[in-house]
Amino acid sequence: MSARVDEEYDYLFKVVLIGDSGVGKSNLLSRFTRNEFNLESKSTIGVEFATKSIQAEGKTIKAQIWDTAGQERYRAITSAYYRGAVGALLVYDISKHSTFENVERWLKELRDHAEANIVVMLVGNKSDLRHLRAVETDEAMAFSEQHNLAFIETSALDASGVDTAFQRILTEIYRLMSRRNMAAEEAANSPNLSGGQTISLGADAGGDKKGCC
Amino acid sequence: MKPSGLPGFLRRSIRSVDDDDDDHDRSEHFQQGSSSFPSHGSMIPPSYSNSRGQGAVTELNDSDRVQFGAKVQTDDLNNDLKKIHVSDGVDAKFRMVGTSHTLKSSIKKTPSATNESKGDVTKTADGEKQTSISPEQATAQSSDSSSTMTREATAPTRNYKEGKFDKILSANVVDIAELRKLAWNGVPPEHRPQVWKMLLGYLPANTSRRSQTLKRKRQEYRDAIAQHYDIDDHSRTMQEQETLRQVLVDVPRTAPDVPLFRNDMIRQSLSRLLYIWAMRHPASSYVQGINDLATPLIAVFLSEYFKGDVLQGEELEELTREILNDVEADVYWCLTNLLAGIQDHYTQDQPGVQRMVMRLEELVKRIDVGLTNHLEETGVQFIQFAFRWMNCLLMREFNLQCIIRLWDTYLSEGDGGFETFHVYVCASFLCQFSGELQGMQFDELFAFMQNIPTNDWDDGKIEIVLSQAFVLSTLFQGSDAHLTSPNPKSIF
Ligand SMILES: Nc1nc2c(ncn2[C@@H]2O[C@H](COP(=O)(O)OP(=O)(O)OP(=O)(O)O)[C@@H](O)[C@H]2O)c(=O)[nH]1
Ligand SMILES: [Mg+2]
Repeated sequence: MSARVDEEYDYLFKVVLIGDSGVGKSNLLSRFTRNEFNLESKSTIGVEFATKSIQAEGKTIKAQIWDTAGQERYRAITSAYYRGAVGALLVYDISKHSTFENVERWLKELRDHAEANIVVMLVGNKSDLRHLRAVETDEAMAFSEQHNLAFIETSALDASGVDTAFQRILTEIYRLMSRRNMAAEEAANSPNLSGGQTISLGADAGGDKKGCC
Repeated sequence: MKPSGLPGFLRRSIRSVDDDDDDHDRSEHFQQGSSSFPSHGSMIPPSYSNSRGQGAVTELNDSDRVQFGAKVQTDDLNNDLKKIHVSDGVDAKFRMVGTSHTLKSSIKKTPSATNESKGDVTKTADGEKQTSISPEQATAQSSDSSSTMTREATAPTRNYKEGKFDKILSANVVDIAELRKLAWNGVPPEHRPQVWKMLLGYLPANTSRRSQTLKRKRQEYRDAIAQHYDIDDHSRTMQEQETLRQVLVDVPRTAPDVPLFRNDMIRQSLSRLLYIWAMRHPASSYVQGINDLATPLIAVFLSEYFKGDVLQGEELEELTREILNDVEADVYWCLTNLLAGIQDHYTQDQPGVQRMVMRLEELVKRIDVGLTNHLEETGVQFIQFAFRWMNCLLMREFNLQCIIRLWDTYLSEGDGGFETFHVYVCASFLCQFSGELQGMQFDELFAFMQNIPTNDWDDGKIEIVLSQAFVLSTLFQGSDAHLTSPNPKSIF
């Protein structure tokens, strides 16, 4: 048995990637974690998983990202993975308007299955397909403001916006969590949490040793 | 075979299965000891090893290739296989034609064999380089009788196994039960298109009904295209448009690593047949993963028309619309029959898939406690990795070549192949990596399971897994209710 020393991190956040099939969730994940893009990647069956650590406000944050299958039929199995997630990237394809129209349905999925205080970011992917754009940036921006979502456009193909998207949602989660912990500490007057401890926004984000679902 | 592949008690059981079980045709794999699994070419025909026992096995291994130049009388090898005298020509191409006598024959069969089968093993005597059959020829022959095959005799030998298939398939009415037994150990590439179509209940066992059936089915499919596919988008319902969208999103992502599936004509056929299947099966409609299941059928059925490596997309420029139409129709019907046996894998909530994942977990709990405990400790759940194994029948785990070999056996198992037996295969597959997995923590383990290193796998490796799965099935099948299929095994 090769005991593996886990890389150091201060926080572990579980994030899910959701959205219609074919909008580019898997490629966003591979671009972010491995800097890879594949024009002919296979469809995701069930869920896939990858991790990456980033720096935010002086802390090392390890993101545990669950990439879910977009097809409706898989909803029953994929929604189980929302549990314990502190963030969600809700992806649509800027060149396919129907994938944007379905964003409402995905929000409902989150309301039904995810933690109430999950941080959601709307991601308009395939921004490189300028000539095929079917969803205007303004339209999506207005929608996200109305629904209190963060918003960004990305291209997994040319990598624009991808790191920023993950960086922003993770930082946002961290800030929210710090504020909440601070409030909790003040309320309970409890001692500071020591570094290296795994904290989650949700009830059950789990430690490094536990898979969540 | 890696000794660690199966836990100790199972390895012991392997022996006991051999010792006291004559009926199980596939247990012969173990007669040579689990450490030297026979290679594809020398797998022992079941009936032979069963009737002759251990001593004869060695003998057969030495002579299981029937030399074309050596005039081998095969009576002694197996009484099923009647005398086939093979006399000459080691380097000429030969052609086997199931029901036609048109080719000049230089391979003689004794009357006993010829009498009961219309088919002859024939060989072109001209010895000239004969390029692949023309498309028209292929189509004509194929609709006349799908038992037509051409191949280049690159090897001077016609091996024992091929001879057995020749024999079984040349009968007026093919003995499907026998064919199943034989095919379990792998089907020679040249026989595969015909054998698969029969085992899938598409091609009639009766020679005289074949061309009629094929003609009717192909026409029926053409009608379905007109009805469902070649229509204006506006006349589709929202639901139908969504289904079509999903199919079109998935087709370019189907086996993208295999050159064959980068071909536009092939992709178009795939889109069409998947969509039509969805329209005809509204209870499940199109579900991702079904696209994967069509790929072995396409590759195998196309191979009937080309002698090059179909997967590599060789000679695809010779592919005519006519051939492809027939192949597409055949794939459609065979896929339909295959999916009929595993319907609830793709209906709402996918109960079939869930059930199989549960069975796998139960099974692994019994055969590999160490691994089960480790998975539990690390927090990896079976559903997290095995969902895909069931949903796509391991097609994401192996290269297409391996899958095709796997399917020889699955199809031989009948309805249970893609369901009950598949669970045993998954268990056996998982146990191959037991040791490695037990050294991994969550992240690493999960990453490993998403991308299991099987690049170097070939038929031989698959056969190891199949053999172990067989042993598991003999040990556990029927012994407890939850591990057996709710559906009784049926012949298509
Ligand atoms: N032009 C362009 N194509 C992209 C981009 N991202 C993904 N794609 C392509 O879109 C297709 C679908 O991408 P995937 O990442 O597999 O989509 P998905 O959302 O994971 O789909 P499911 O797994 O079926 O839910 C692939 O052919 C990708 O190459 C992008 O930013 N730009
Ligand atoms: Mg995906």
